[in-house]
Amino acid sequence: MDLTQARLLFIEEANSLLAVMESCLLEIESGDAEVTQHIDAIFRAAHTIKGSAGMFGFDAVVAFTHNVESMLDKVRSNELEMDADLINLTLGCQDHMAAMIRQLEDASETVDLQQGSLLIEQLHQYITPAAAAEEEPKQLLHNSPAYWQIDVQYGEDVFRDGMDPLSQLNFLLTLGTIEHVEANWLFADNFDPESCYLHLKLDFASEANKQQIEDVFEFVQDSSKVVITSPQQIEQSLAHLGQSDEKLGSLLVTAGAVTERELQQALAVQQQQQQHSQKERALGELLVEQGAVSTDVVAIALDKQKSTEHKRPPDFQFLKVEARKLDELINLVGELVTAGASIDALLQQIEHEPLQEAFGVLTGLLEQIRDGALGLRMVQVGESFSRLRRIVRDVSKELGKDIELKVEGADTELDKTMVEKLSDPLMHIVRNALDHGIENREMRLYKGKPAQGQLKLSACHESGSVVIEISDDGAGLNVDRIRQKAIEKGIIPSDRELAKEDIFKLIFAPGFSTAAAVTNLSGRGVGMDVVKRNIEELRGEIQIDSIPDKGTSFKIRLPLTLAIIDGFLVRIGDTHLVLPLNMVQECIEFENNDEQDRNYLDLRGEVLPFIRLKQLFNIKADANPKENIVVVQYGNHKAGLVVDQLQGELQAVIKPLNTMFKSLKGIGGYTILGSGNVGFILDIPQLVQFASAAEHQSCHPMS
Amino acid sequence: MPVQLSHKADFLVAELPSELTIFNVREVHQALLPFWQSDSEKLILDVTSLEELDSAGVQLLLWVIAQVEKPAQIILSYGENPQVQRLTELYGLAWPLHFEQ
Repeated sequence: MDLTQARLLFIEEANSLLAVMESCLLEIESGDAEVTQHIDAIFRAAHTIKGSAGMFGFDAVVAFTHNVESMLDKVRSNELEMDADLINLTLGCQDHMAAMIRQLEDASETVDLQQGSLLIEQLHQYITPAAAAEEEPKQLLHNSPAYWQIDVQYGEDVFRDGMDPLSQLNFLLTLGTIEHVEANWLFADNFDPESCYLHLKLDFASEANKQQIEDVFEFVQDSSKVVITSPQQIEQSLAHLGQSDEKLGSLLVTAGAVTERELQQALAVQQQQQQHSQKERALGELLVEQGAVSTDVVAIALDKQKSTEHKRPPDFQFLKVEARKLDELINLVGELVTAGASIDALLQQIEHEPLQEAFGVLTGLLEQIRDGALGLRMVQVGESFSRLRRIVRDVSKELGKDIELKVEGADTELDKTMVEKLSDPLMHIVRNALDHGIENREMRLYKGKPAQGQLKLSACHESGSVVIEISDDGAGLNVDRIRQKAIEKGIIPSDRELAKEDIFKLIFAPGFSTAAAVTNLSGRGVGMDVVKRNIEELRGEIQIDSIPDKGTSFKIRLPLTLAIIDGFLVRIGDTHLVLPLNMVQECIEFENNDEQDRNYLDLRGEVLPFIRLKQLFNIKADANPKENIVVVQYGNHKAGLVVDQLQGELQAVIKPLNTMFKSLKGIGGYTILGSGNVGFILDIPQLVQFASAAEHQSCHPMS
Repeated sequence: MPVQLSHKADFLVAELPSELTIFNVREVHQALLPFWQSDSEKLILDVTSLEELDSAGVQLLLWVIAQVEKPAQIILSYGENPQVQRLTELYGLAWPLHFEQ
């Protein structure tokens, strides 16, 4: 993943949270709002900034924000009063945090450290010293040993040269600890006992630098292939380096990401290419190929360089555009396509070839503009997934848990605004799953589960909505504990009996947290209520399913609004209808020779109820002698839809219906077809429900 | 004779010398040839008297084990040999069925 991208996202997020914090504080100060109205939002801003900064290892930001958060927590629990002085101090802290974020953005910005410690001192007067000592932020990875990955493919002659990989392992043990070793012996068919077939992969925890580790393998370096992968700390220390005029190579050597030997090796290759007048390849590329360094590290280093030669403020790399403007553009493009289609129809009549050809070019461009404009709003949901990937990696390391992240359907496209608004809830759910859901290694082994925990993120289009599922194979939700906690917190009365599903829903109550320990990551009881609210704001819904010791799954179902789906176009009279392709099972010819008005047929021995859409929607059209049935399926339900003509697959951009038509049953939205016609997108589950209700009504008019 | 071969029930027992290093792996490899040529399908590699073992030695043991088709047909007997145990740990190895004598 591109770390620089994630870093920019963090900066962007932190800045907007700081803006929220500021405006809330100012509203309280001016008396426009009560403290209770805004304290949650202010606290959440600080909490999220601290959490995200922790993920990226911005320790200074974490340490400072932690103090602010502790103070705000006291205000929230009514232990402290938010008076004018405290508002002032909080605003001062907000300024200081903003300055720290600005420094991450542009290292030439300075942060007044004295001011920082003064603020912390003042904060400590509000937070009792005892509590402050107790809640000292835990040491982050920074000072702990770094985790190196060492991959050695020993050369055949290693034994004959008098070397023994054992002595290297023994020597490594003097520098640190070998956390994991994987020895593969890749025997050749004509095995020679004196040849070495060893391929060694090590996870090595050590405070030694790369050069020291490489020195261990000095004597086998010529005959073997040694790849030492820098730990994440290197990325961090590189990121913390100021802007530099140094060349890429020396920058990487300074940061300890590559050794002098690796650099020389890459430079030699580069020189060789130059001599053979081949296309010279970038040094970074060669180093990556050599296995000396990861692309992420090169990207960070290049970024450091780039920023010296070409200082472009990060604001210009992303352009924030008001969603309204985009919507207007897309609407106009839709109109343009419609207008184009009508001109096309006129051109067909006058049969002027050069004019038609010229218009053909215009149509091609129009389509590109349409796709481009739509593409502006659509992003792959994978973008926010990849941000989570980094979080999973870092958090699991920090917690000492081994967790694998599986991502499915990352290419599912979703409206940009949705993806943005989803990232917070997703992050909260993922953090909770990592922190509280998935047990530690010992507990997992004790329970007979694989030591490695699994977290799965998946996205797909389902029944006209986008479903995002976050599931883990952790401990599951503890129904009794949730209930007990909810009673303790006064969320439900102690005598209320609740179904399992309803108990799960309690975790969305504000201030609810069953975690015994408050960690850097979660457990403060903010989050789940925000998760629910954020999703409801997107007109979505969230479902929880949990089985004790098997895991928990959060299913977020979102309406499509502007998503693109694969559709299947059909026609009834002049009406075009689009069915979501993933629900279409098959198409069969409809033999309507049966005069009987029965609404089911025999599909290979199965009863298939069908709906005559023409009647249902009351479409005026001549009777078609050759009708078709599209068999659709959702969940376990199967039904047939009678249509006049099958027109094939298409990609449909779903537009929501105007509020005036929202009450229409069975239609989920509309799309503008290539011809400029409007196609109605059927909401199959709703349609079937509606049709069967109508049927029921006609069979039981009295009920 | 670097390797003592004997029969025990339907096993061929190969008692390895006190040293198994790069200096004698070829010799031991040769000495084990009769096993592959014999009708015997089961092998016990007795390494209890090993005093010196290096990576080449470990590699030979692993190779022999890899050559036996069914894992149940080979046993590595090493008792509480500290040399073998240390290398097993360092390389994170799993030997087929060992027993203490």
